[in-house]
Amino acid sequence: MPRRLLILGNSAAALAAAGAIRARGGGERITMVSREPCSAYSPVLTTYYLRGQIPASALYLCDAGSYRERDIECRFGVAAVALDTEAQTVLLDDGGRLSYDALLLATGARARRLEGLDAVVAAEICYLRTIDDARRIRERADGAGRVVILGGGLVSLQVASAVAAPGRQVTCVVASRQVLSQNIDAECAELIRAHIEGTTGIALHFGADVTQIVRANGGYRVCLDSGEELAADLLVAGKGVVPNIDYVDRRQIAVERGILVDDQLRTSAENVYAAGDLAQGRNRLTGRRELVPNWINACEQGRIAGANMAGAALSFAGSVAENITTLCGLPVASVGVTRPDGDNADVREVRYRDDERGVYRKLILRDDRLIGAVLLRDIGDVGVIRSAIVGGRLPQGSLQHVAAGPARFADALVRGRRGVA
Amino acid sequence: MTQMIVIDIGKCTGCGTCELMCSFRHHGEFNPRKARIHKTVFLYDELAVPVVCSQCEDAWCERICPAGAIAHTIEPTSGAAVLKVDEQICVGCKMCMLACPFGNIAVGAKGHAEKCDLCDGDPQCVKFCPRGALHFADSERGEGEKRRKLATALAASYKESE
Repeated sequence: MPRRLLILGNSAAALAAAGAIRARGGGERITMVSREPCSAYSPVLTTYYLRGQIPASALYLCDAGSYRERDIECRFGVAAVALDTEAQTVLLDDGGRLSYDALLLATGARARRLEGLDAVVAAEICYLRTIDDARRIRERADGAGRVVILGGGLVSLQVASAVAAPGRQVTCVVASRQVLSQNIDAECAELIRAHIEGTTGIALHFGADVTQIVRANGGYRVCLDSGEELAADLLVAGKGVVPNIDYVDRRQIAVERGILVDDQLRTSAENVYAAGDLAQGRNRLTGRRELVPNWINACEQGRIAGANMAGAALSFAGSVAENITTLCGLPVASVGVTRPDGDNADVREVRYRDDERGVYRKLILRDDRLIGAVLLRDIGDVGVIRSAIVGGRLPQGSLQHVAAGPARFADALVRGRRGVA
Repeated sequence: MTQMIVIDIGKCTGCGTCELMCSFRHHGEFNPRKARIHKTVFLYDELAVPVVCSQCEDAWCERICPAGAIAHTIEPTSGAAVLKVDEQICVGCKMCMLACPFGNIAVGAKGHAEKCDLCDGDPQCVKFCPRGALHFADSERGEGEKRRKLATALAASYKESE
């Protein structure tokens, strides 16, 4: 009897795991269980679909044939409701029960719901995570003259820029004092704010919390703690994600904010692994176990977890918090520790700013090791800088040179500018 | 037979012809900033190093592309393995730029990722390199194997020294 490897989930981590298992050629039986009734798709692409750049069909990463080719048994449209780590079985919501020799928890994360609102209104707020979420926003945006977005993170700003259109009033209500407060420093955020407000009609409200939302005149009235009120036809919220781990019994598997995993991606339960947005594994730069919900991390953790389920002994080098995107035409990337907390006595920053070109770049160092970077507009060397950060090295060349970006340092010198701080 | 671009650093003068021909081939203009091969000149070390996509067998860009737009293909005329970006599928999310540790892929003005595609088996950088510092060589000549051995030895010594 071949070993039975069971994967809960059907996105980056799950697919990478299945690929890694098959790459080892051990002939195991693979079963994938997914709550969503469709083939795997790319949540990264939903904003591109939302803005009408690609059709819904382009979101899919797999079709039925892709699973057949890899000899994967699919149980899509059903969800795990409980695990029994003693008996090594998983109970499904259709009443079925699957046994496993090794299990991967890769059910990802879901959009964090707003709390404390009237239930009827709460049910009408849109989020952007799944393909259905994206369809829902698109449908409702049709004919919506006023869109209010609650949040100022990557998803919120992407949604804002996707739905922005002539004659439509788009407003983001941001709780913190800046956009992208989870990713970048305040100075860079201010440049992004100026770009967004200067090039689009999107309005940004900072330091504002929603006290209540009521239905009014066929739409909604959003009341802020400042006393201000915003009228809306469509409400979208982007308040981060929470792991999908409701089916996990904390007495069986150690859970903090997510499922705790070691460097082999093993959970505290025997033969149970976890990878992706729900796994709380070691952050390579902080050394702490953290949730790092991003696509690259999910791919890498999934690959290692899958190989280890099939008998390998690979170690995960640790996750890196990172993001790269284009906001209203402005490329922005953040890698590693960009907002150092705690004792910052040993943290040093090398900053470059050229307002004429709209470029801002910052390197963050601790003990003369590069631990983070924020790059705005001029991001061509982000991969090289990332590689130096994850490798715990300094990049080649002087830090000022690196901060100024490839070929730009010479430009700055020639033009007699002193953009380097 | 697998052909690949092989760089002889000792012969490179940093003249930049490779960049010009690359951008001309792909964009119809002589603009090093649009090239997919880049030289770095270390003036005081009297050294110039061209860097171009090495068409990794297990490529980071391919592994993480969230659209599945990057894939290995075999270039029909030369038989070379080449990592190609499907411009119809790529949405320009830039995640490959984050992943490539060598900076050899970038999203261009057309909104999709651009990288060395070996010019359909006739790399222009190689063809026009005035010093013969670039070769399009097949692994029958042993460069591939030699390089792998050297790289493995280097990687091992690096790990020891850590």
